[in-house]
Amino acid sequence: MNVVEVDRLNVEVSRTRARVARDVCFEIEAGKILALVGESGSGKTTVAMALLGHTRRGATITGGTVRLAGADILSLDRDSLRAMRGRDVSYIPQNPGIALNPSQRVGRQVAEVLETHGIGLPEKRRERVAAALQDVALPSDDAFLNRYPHELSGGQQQRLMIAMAFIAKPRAIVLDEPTTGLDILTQAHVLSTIRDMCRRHKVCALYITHDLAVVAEIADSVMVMLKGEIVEVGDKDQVLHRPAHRYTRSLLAAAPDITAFKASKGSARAEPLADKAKLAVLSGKNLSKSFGRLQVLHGLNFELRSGEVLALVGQSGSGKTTLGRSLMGLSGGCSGEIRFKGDLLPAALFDRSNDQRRTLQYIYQNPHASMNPRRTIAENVSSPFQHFFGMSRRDAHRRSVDLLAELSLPKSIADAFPREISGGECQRASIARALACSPDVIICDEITSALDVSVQASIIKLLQDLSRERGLALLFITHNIALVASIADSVAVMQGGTIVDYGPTARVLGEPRHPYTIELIEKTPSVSLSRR
Amino acid sequence: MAVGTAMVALVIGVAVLGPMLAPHTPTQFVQRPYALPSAKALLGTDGLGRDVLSRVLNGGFSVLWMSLAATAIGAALGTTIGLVAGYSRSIIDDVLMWLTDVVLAFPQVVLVLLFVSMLGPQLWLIVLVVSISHAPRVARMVRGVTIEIVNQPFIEAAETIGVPTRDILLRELLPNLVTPLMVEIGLRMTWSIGIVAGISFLGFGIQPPASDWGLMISENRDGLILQPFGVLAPLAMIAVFTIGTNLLAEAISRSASNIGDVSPNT
Repeated sequence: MNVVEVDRLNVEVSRTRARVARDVCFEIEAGKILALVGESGSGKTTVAMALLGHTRRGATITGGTVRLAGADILSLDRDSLRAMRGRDVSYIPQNPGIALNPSQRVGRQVAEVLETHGIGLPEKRRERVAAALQDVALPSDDAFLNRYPHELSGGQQQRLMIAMAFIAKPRAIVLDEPTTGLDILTQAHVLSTIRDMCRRHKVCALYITHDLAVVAEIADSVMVMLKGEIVEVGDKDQVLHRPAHRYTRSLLAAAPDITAFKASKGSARAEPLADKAKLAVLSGKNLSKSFGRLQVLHGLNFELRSGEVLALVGQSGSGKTTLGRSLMGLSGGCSGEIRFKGDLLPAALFDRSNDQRRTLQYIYQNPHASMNPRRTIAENVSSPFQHFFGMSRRDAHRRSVDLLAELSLPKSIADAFPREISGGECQRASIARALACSPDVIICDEITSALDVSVQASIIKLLQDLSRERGLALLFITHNIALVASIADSVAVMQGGTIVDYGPTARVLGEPRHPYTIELIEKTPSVSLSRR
Repeated sequence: MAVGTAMVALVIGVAVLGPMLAPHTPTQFVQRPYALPSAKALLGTDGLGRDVLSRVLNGGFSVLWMSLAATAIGAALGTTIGLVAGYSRSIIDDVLMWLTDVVLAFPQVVLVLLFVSMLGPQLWLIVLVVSISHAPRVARMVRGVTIEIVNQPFIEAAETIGVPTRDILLRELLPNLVTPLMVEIGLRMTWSIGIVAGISFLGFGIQPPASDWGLMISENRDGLILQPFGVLAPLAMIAVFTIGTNLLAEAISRSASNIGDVSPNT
């Protein structure tokens, strides 16, 4: 039986009359998970919100029907809609850290769903909350219920959201990229929780994602969306392995896959690197770092040669970003010996010479946050030209416009403000800013994790080209081990502030030695290894 | 925006061009004291038989320049202190904040009266003390916003690409402060007008027989029942000025916040 039936749904932006969803039709059976795949801006979230009878501010549903268990949602008035949301259909947002009320205790927050909808007797609610938390494998004792959201890990927060979504026993549930911010092991856990809960409670789910590997892991059927239109719908195996639409094929091609390293990398690049053994541009010996009494890095050693791409992989909290930042001399640096182009590098950024600062660069995860929002892209990119090369404002501007063009960004971008351009474009611009310094080493901190799969692929391609052409060494920090396969020459796996596995990519991914590496590789969802 | 601009323009026009338009000189005897409005004196006369309209037209300039100067100096001083304190994240921050706390402990009017009673009623002194009393209030706000912005990666990015500290403060941080700063300046301007007018009302500002809106209210309040325009006219001017600056500052900050926003996308 179909729980959700959507027929010719149309959504328009009121002001521009642009259609963000065009004749969208689909249905979901009870207990099934339908994945909705597409890039940012394709209208995924718009369609998902329509299931709750909601549109983003400034958009209106201009046509079509949305039926939930037979009832037409779009004809309901405000009060009935409010009563329906959370009770019959619930929503799990992308970022639980923002979605949870930071000043409300965990237990109260979950119970609020029941109170709002007047479900169950007040004295029984506590038991019901406890049961819901047990369902998602969270502790249900009073100590846990009295915690605040910030005292939980990202995975726990997301499981709490799942518990809240399921507690009222809804008929349908909408999930908007619920695992995007999570690392692989947590993601695996959250995914299995979602799958389990849907099966057990016979709830149908619409799962929005841009990650095809996750689709392979969780979905029963898949729907691909492009520019507001559904271009392909079908059974999971059919869509992932025998895609009919061109766009689906390009998405699949762009998805990084952990099994890809054997084909493209491996022994071919391992040998020339060995010859250049003495050309280590950046090396760390016995690097340690503590925040107060908490030691986060425990005596790390690594070596990065020019032209080499070293990937630093690990879960969040493993210390990989701390290592990257310490190498940059940010947040006070670290203890131990950092050698850069043969010289000892002072620990703190402000003790380093201009030349050292210039040749060691850093690119941030969130491109929009790393650009000054009040200055145009060209102004942002031209800073290094002015400060490191003493160019006049006009020369610097001209150079940065050229540089942006070299990275195949459209001309109009130079005078745009950061928030006016897409994440992919902005990340390219921040790569341009790093390149403006003519660096020898760039530390890339999760630079693709905020981007769409196809954009991610183009950024990776760009970095590979740059590394090859300019002999740039890259320290590539990521939690996505699948990405490592397609870019890195060697891999260092971090766990709890130590490097547990370190070697050429083919060796680490092909014949992993450390149990943690093995676990990481096993838990990584993969389109080609999709299993049920 | 239009309303605010019009109100401020009106007041500035009156203050600057008023002396030229005034039918009489501010000290000239026109009619009997407290005469009601007539063709001879459109807003009536004050307690000494001087034309209220002429005195209003002549009395705006002192309030205007004093409050503008006090606000400008106070905002500049406060912004500098706030930026340095917020960016330094060190003992400098603590010391600067202690100092601002000391100044904040005095009510603004009391602080001005204290200095004026020690050093005499001098206009530059009033401007200086009012601006000093504004500075910590602006500094507190600027520091708060700065701390928030400093934690965003683009400041760190600027540090790693070698931008000197002075440029980080002025070119990276300051543009992102425009919105809250405009609101704050509008608010401070309102306070400046109030304090400057209040001080001359109390008799410590411009001295008679010169004309000044605050002073006029004080001079004419005895005749409030007989001839209300002597008080109402300068009062209305002060009110229009205050409300106008507020509306204008709000409009400017609203249009400034359309350029780019500090809020991160995460």
